[in-house]
Amino acid sequence: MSSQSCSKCGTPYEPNEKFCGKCGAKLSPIVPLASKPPSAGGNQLACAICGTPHEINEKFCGKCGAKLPQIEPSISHPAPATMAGNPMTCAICDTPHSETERFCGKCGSTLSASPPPPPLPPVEEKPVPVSSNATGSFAGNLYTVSSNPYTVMATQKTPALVIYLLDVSGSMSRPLDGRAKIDIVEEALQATIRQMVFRSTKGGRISPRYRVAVFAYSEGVYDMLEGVRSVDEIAQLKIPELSAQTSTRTDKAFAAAEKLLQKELPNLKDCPAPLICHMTDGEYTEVDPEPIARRIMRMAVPDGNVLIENIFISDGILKDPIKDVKNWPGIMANTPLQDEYANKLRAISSPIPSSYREMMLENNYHLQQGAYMLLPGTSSELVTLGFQMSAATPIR
Amino acid sequence: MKKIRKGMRIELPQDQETSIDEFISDVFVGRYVYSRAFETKKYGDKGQDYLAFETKESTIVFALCDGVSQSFYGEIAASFLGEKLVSFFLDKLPPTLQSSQIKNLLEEYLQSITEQASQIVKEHRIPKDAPKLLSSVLEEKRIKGSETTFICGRIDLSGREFPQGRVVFAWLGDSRLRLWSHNQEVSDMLGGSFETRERWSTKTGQVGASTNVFSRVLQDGEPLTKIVVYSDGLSMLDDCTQTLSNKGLQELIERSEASSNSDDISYLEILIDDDLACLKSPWEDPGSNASTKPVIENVMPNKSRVLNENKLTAEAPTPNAEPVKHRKNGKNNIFFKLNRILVGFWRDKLLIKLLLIAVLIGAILAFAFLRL
Repeated sequence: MSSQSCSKCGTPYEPNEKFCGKCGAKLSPIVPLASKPPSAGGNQLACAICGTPHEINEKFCGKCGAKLPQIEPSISHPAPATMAGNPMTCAICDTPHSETERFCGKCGSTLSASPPPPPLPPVEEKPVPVSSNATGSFAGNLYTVSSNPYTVMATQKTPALVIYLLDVSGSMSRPLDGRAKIDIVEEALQATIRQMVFRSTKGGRISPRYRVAVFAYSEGVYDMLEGVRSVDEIAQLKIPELSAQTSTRTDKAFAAAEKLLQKELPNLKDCPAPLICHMTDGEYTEVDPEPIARRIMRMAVPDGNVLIENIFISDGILKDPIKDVKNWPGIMANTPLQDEYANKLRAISSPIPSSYREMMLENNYHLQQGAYMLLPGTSSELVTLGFQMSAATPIR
Repeated sequence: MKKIRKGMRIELPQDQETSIDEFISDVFVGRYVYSRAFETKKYGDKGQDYLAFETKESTIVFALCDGVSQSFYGEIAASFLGEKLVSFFLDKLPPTLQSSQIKNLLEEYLQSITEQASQIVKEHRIPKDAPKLLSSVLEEKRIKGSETTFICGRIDLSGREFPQGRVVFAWLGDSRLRLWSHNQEVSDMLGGSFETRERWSTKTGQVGASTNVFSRVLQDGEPLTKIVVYSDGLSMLDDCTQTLSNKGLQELIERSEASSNSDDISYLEILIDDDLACLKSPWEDPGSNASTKPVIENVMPNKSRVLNENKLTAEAPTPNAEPVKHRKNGKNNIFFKLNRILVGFWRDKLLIKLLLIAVLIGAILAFAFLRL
């Protein structure tokens, strides 16, 4: 969702609105993740805790010591440039800017000087099947998927790569089950990290069986762990807090994941197929992420194509509410979905591999064969289930 | 080859490697090995496998446990249960061939020891310098207990209680138990299940299923001549039906350790043919300079199958992994027969033993008297 809510009456508002259209209250300006708008210089952000301005290359607040969000310029830039030689415009508000500027002077979003993306391949109408002997090729790497996909076990030598794409748009501050959605997501993410530690512990030591990247996204993409971290490293870190922002540039998040996979895939030959866990609560802003997601789904390692899981926090996906989560069969190809965007997310969700399904079964979740890795986050339990699924890689 | 005295328990240390070693008792010949996973060795951790065996007269008892790494310090459950099972199978196993009777007693025992095991788990200290999240996870695991798979067994050669001998095996989990009758693998006779989800827990006892128990007469129909037990760390051996030389086995272990799925390895092989009592190493490689020579026949199930460097069942031989060759007509050798008779007498016939000793003493006295 692209808006934040009025603190007085809860009515959503857009970034350019200064007063609430319903109650007339003065609206807070919408700021980037854990920061206030950049200063006139364009190279400063503010601490989310105390508001002290800081340079973008600083990691901790000099006043209160809080960890500051690190913005990855290469992945947070949209590609709004028009033809070569023409002035560039902000992807959010279309304000023209020069090539030397890094932030939009009007809306504060990060700007890109990168070239426009290459032409997209034709988009298929149905989800990409995970078939045996399928060949996935990417960036000069060619792997043939084994006849027994998604069975490679995560070990210290062959860790599983899991990439989280977390929507932190303004609507994530709205309640679900009586709590802010973003708090539920943060808790579910921490529970998943804990589950990874649980599954990676041998004796009194954490074996690095998982490698994790967390990208929070709104109008930009924020690398929450500052790169890919192994689970034993994460166990010693404090997971940065998430805070709700403005728009929903899902395309940028998937582009960041694609870029990371391009870099990682050549080293994952013997590893389990990577998984992208995407969590959102509403439709994308501006650019459709589906073409990028489809490109990602065509990437492969010998263990199988890259998996994409979607957790869609929305009330209106299924006709009937899920009463018994443990015995819920999951969303199948023919399950009617009430929300158009849910249909799109199904199209970019992988069918759940048997090995993952068995793992979920061990935890008493009875997802059926053929179910998609698409979870309707209508309750905190379902959100947690979705995150748990992302860590269900086979483990020795 | 290590000479095992009766009543001597061999227990392989969990904090170091035990290279392939052979043993010989009065009536059994075997070999064993213990090797920790690559990662476990790297960090100097304890292995989570446990292997022990003990001989007593014409009996051998063994236990192999594979601690569950996702439980609380799986090595605790493995060593605790392994020790208990060896003692149980030596001293408390009822003299019967009825599996159901053995099963009931064993299951009762497996439940009865959980209290003691839980106390050990409760007292186990978590490293003080462990990160907070790890400590918290370990405490959660402590509540759920430490878990292990197991395979244990007892082999009684022919004697008073069991004129045709007896074998009893019990297991829970996916560790491997394989049987041979001369040149044929007969593991199918075991039945039961070997499922990963089945294990024993210090907290709840059996998990996932009830214990599998198999018992039968040793020499009936298809006499059992060899048993092999090993943990899933040596799963590369699963498709191999031939007897590997020591060198071939070592190569397989090294290959397993080098694989991405490297796990702890424990392995025990016991030859239970009466004829093997006086034998030396049957696993020497051809051309070995060792003084002991292979003298068994019928151990090799299929001499045409040889070990290839890269594929166990390939046809092309490699110099380092040829199958063991055995001396022909070993049983017709007069020394072999004499040896077997003497060993058999020594094992079973107490009166004859005494008689022989009396004759020997008489002969010495007579000789001394004549000299005088």
